[in-house]
Amino acid sequence: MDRPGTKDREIFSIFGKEGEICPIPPELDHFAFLGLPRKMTLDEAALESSYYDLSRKLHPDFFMNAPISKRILSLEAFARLNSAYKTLKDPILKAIYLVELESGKLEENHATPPVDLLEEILEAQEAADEYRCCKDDAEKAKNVRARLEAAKECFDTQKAGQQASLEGLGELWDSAVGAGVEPPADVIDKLRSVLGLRNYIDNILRRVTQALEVVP
Amino acid sequence: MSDIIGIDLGTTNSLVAVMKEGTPFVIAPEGEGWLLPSVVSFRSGRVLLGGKARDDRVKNSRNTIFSIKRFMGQAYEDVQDEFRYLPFEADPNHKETVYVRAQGRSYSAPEISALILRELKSRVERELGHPVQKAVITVPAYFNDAQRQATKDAGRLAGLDVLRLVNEPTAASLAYGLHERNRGIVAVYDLGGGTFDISILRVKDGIFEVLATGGDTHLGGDDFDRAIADYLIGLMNVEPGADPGSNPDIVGQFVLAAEKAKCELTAEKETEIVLENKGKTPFSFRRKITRGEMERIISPIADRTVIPCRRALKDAGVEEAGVDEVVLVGGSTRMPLIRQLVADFFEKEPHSALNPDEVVVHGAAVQADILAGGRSDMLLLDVTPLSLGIETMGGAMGWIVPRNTTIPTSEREVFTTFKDNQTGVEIHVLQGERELIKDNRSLARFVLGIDPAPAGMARVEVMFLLDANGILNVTARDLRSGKATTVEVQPSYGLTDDQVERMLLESFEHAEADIFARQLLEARTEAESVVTATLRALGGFGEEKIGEDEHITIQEAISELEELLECEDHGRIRGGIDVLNEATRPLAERMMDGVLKEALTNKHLSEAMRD
Repeated sequence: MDRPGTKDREIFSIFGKEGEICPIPPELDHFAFLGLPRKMTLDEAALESSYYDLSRKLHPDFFMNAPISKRILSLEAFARLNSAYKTLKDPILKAIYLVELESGKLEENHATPPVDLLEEILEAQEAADEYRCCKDDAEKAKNVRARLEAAKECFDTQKAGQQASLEGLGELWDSAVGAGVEPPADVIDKLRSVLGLRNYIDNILRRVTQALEVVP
Repeated sequence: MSDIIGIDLGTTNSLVAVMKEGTPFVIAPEGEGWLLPSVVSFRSGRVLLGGKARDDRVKNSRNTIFSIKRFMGQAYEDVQDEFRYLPFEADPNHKETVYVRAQGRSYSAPEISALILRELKSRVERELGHPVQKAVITVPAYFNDAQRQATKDAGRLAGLDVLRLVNEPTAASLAYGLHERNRGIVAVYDLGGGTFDISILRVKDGIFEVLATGGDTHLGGDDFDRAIADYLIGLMNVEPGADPGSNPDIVGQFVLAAEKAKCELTAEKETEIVLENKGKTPFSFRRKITRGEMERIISPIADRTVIPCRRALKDAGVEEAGVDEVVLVGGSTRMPLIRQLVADFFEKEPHSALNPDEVVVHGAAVQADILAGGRSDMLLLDVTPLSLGIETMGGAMGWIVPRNTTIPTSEREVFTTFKDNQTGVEIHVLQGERELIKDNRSLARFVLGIDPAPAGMARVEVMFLLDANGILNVTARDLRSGKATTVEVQPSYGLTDDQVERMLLESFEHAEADIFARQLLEARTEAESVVTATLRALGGFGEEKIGEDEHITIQEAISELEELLECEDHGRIRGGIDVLNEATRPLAERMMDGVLKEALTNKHLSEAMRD
């Protein structure tokens, strides 16, 4: 069996010398699996065609008459392929995956959000809870709704800002990778901080939006 | 010709097909239609099926079971209301799964379905002149895990090895793909006798990739019939105090008459309903009904299909205008009202070049052909219709596999405890989209014993494996203690293995061959899971931890077991399993040590803090 590589598909093969299916090594990353460069922006057509190509080779449908060990390998390989494709298709999941691949798990660095953001979140949460309870008091409801709408606008703006900085940082990342060098440390740090805060913003936005929908 | 049969097990009608020279071929005995009505009539001492049983819906109404698909994988309380429209009864003593009563006996929904499957199986056997065992069965895309399990159970009870459950709309798209190499974004709108599905697919180069699916497993032609029946009963001239709506025989006859009128109003603008009953409760009814009048009654029900369509498009990331083709499937899509609704929603004329009754079974035969190795130019990539997760603190849903994830898939999450010195954690597996577990469907519960530890220190890894049938397998491991306890989930709704065994023994033709086939199947299944576990262990450990000799011994045991699988003797297969287990014992012991060390270094603590 060929030795698996982690960065280069050239030296990794799913099939052995006899053309038989082999186990996918756990250390093989999604980019290497799909034969794509470790970039923030991928050629969508290349990603799709690589996924379809591997699907045709790995899907359990084509192993129904094979010995069970091969059938199981195909099931596991295809499940791996699906999670690789799902991750690389989604810009955010892909960015998180790539940054973690380069510099370790994300959550550890951002157990709690910065104080000012935390304050904004708590305030919005309070408004959301209050809004659900004050249906009968029209005057108060109007007030709370205004607060909620302001919060939503504020978080929407922050989200758009994050989006823009992710795109900018992604370009810097890709040009480093394109030039054959490691992505700069400050780019990695900034990406980690933006991605680390993303969940907080998304969660509170969802709560605020839900609250606004529940009582129109 | 492939020896794997394709079956469409429908609410109203069922069909079976095989591939002949690359073309699906529906099998029916001479003189009978292609459609086998999904009706089973129990008379004293004998059972009638299909067309022969249909007349018994009037003559032997209390003992004639139909629309059983609506009760597959359902608890009694979920469907209790439906029995008002049905002349047969549910057995109130069975709460977890629906049992229906006939001739003084109770039958589970899979048992009734198995009788229909048996009839389809023997149709094929008579035609081909030899026994068949392997089958692909279609299910509504929106069927949950319990409903899928129930369908597999029915197959087992009928003596079939169900190789694959295929979603009905996806099967239909395969059938269309066979005829015209369509490309692009395809929406399949499938409204049958009892279920509604909408699937959005991308079809390209022979790959049928489902992007999103949605639906309602209790919305179909039956619901139209019932609404029309209620309307007609309301028009009866009755004496004060009489309540014909509570008489199951009267309601049953009105439902049948409503169905007939509905079908006639597909082509006609007006029809007359005539009912003369000279039985125990004599009554007569005669009235004209127009298509417009009927449409006013049923359009609120038809409109309920719009919400799943809208959500499926959103999940697929596709705009209404981005859909290239709309395909209609299922008998209810013959109604002009439905065609108009679909055309309005997608802003496109839907097409139905293939017969909407047969297109699903054609697709099942194509999928059977793919599994038999007959063709490799087409491939289905399907999704799970509902999100899956477990109960977390405060009764909240902790999602593990989101809906519309391509299957097969495996996902894992690590959870922790919230009380000091817990000795067990309850893993409660659920399916559904709501935030709180009380609003979702409970699939299974089990307790995993863990070593006591301070709150937040325990690490429990939960792994969900969804196979190509969309059926879930859950395992939980205590990472910290290294005990690596593995628990396979038994669905809490549905039949246990013991129940299936008992039913097999009690079944009408409890031929020895059935029991033998099942023992063989079970030995093979167990062999598969032992080999899976072994390969996983071999993959997870570097070569330095497994000596060359040990590796060879294990590989030999695997090869030997694989060879034994070809034989028809379950005893010899079990022997092979024992040999492999013996060969892997030292490795298993070392693995436990390894897991223990990993837990002590605690390198993923942040993951474990997830609530």
